[in-house]
Amino acid sequence: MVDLAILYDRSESDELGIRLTAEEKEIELEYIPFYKIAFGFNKNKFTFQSTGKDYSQVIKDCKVVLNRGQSKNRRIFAASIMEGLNKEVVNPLNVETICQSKIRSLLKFMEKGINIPKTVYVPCNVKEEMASGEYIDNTNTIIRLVENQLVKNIVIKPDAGTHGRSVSLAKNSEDLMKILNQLQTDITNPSGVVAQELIPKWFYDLRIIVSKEKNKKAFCEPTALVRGGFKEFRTNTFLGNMVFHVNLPENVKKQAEKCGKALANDSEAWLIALDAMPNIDSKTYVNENELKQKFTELQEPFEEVLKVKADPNKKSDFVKYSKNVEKAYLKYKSNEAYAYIQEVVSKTLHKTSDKVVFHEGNSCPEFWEQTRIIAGINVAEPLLACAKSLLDR
Amino acid sequence: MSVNCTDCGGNIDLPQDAEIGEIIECPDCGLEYVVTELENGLLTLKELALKGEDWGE
Repeated sequence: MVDLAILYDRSESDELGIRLTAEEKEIELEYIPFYKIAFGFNKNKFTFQSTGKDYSQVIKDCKVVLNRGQSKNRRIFAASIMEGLNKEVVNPLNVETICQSKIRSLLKFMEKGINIPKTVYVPCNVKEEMASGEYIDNTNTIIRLVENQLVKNIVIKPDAGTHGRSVSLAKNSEDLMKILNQLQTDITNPSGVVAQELIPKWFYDLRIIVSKEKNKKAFCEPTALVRGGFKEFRTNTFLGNMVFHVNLPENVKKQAEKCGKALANDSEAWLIALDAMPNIDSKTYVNENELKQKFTELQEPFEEVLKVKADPNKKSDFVKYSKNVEKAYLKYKSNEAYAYIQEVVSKTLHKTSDKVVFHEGNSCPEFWEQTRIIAGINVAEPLLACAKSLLDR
Repeated sequence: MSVNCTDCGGNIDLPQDAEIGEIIECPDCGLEYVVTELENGLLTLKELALKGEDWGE
């Protein structure tokens, strides 16, 4: 009988990393699939079965579930089901529900007086279907509503999107018209239009890990992952931006803990990865051309990292893959250009720490490669600690 | 021939008449694999890549 379980639809390196870390710490972790299974339930009983195996007893026996579904929506279903079966879940349903939506997250930050980008939400869709089957075009009205409150450099983003997908920058009304004409109502943007002011973050943003174990205070990891580059205004690493690390100023850590508590409400144990941006005015603190040159120098070592990451056999020999990717990242990190850029990030962040802006929380962060190796945070450790703390009732 | 599922450890039997490109599911967790050919001509299973909502760091 195993108390802890990990649930996922399909594993990526993070889930395998959690399992490896659990093994190293001699923590027994059962596996619950959440893809091709049937969860059947009626008044007093349930079954949880794949075509070849019955997981019902595994679920009955476990007390705490680490929810690592790949999809936001699937994670919400998983959390609902597991909590419905009286399990503790990391992260709990309320955290998943809030973090799923940028607007809901920002409202929680606003309640606590945290610095956020000015945001405008217009509930109506760009195109609404009429009873006749034809569509009414609301683009002009939406533009007027948004431009009444945001002046120029407006970011349009899907409320539930990830990895920078469909995030666009409108520099003027014409751009805004083009972007809105392409905006779809779908699973990542189920209703309305989300517009935000563009924060002058210069070339980087931050991924900050905060967590809380049961009966302990919220804790912000002292180091953050920095995502940076000059390719475009979006700094997601999925888009090819590079990564660095930075030691966080005390006031930023305090704000991050406040953010985590705002998103988690009164949940007993949770782990959230916050996205934050420095707010750096037009004074750039170094010669930008020299900085861009350093990015160019780092390109080749970073491409070596990407080659290792693309290993098609990473899952079948995960330990070997982990060692190879660590070696590649450490080589990248030892480069003089890395040290130069890291120093610029550190200096500018410390100079502008009171103006850092928080804009969303990720309830199921990826971490095995970049956060773990570059920022030095194996997120599996606090995750497992959160889960274990819930066992000590 | 059988292979262990990378997600759940379950046993996946590769049928003798399996064809290259055929999709086979792990019976224990449902994860999909595609039948591929190794350099030595033997068949093996490779996890099927799907377009997910969240992937990459």
